[in-house]
Amino acid sequence: MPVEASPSRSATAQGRERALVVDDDDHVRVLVQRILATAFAAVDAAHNAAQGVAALQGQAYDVVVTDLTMPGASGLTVVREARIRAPEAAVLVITGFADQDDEAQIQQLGAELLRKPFGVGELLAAIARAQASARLSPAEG
Amino acid sequence: MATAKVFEEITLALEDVAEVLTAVARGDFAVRAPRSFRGDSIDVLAFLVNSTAEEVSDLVEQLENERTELRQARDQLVMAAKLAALGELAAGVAHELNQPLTAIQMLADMLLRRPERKLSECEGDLQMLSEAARRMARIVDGVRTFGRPGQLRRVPTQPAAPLMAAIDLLAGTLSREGVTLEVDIEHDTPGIEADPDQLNQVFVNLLTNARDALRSLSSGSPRRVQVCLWSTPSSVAVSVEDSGLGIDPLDASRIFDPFFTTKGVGEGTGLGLSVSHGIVSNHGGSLSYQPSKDGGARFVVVLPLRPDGVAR
Repeated sequence: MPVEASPSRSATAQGRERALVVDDDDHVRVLVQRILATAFAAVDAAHNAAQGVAALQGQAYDVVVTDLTMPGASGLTVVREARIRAPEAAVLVITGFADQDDEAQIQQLGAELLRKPFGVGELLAAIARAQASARLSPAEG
Repeated sequence: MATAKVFEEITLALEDVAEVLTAVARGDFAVRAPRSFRGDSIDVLAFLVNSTAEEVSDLVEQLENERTELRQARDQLVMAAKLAALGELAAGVAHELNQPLTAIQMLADMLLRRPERKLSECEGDLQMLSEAARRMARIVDGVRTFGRPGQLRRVPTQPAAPLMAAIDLLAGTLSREGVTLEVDIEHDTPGIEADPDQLNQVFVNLLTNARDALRSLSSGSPRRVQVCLWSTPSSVAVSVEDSGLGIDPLDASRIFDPFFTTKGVGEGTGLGLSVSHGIVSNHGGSLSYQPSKDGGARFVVVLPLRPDGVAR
């Protein structure tokens, strides 16, 4: 995976942290992974919620970025698993469509929401927000 | 002698009557039998046949007007059904457009942040940008052609194109509803003479029905839609199969009837399959239903190949 150097190594730049990206869209997943690789020591990727859950069960993550709408189980399954396995992880849900129910559940689970489409700056800022809120109030497992 | 004259008059009068009736039979209501206004039997006969011709003319005109009104009402209903379906698709379309748009925005940001990179180093990224833009164009095209009414306009067509456009249009909605879409498409089939916009409408209708069938399943049930396209020496076939509960055998014979629907009030117009059946028939093909081996619904569209088998 080529690493895209990011000029703004802001609040997301944490030398030894590990991130997980879950998205069924090949382009979005590859690009988010590339961006995160500039800020995190290791970035794993999963194509769907089941793979994402399996990754969370086998590895501890500091940051989890997941799509909401995917074939099979939704991204909320990944968020719930992250809350059980890694209550202090920063969790960001990225989605092209979220209704009020989805928004309420994402908020309730202590995750941040970022609507597609977004650019590099917005993604990094949203991850920083997720990290800040995870530090302030780690969700209960 | 007098008898011969009367006989001749009667013969002529009958010929006049025959002429009027023959004209009416071929749809010409302007021909009239000549009147003597003598008030005798022959004149009365001419009067009666002329009145009948006029009355038939009025009735036919009235029927034609009603038929035109009915046709207009049906066209409006078809259009309304398409617009309603399109409105429902909007959320899915937004989701589907936002995926490539995200890729484009991130790639553009990455390229802008690294102005020192040579163009040759960016080839992979530019390729991805181009693919994302093309995907958006296909989705927009699907929306545009789906909402457009029109006459059958046959052009050399690769059957996979209107099918892919329909899949692009519905993929977002299906994904949002947790449906796994399995696609097995033979892309290099021979071309057919077809109206791609109308075929797109057929495929959108079939995919929409599959989605609706899966909505009634309980939450744990697997939701799957399988789309296949294959060719035979004489035709191209497309099947759309869902893992729903299938169609009640009692309803199966009526599903292609206009206004027949098993969906709730306000949910379906009962026109989707009837319009689709009409479109496929106009292409010289067939649209048929059979239960899938798992008990879900399976629709198969068969379209004849054009003789030379070449598409643009």
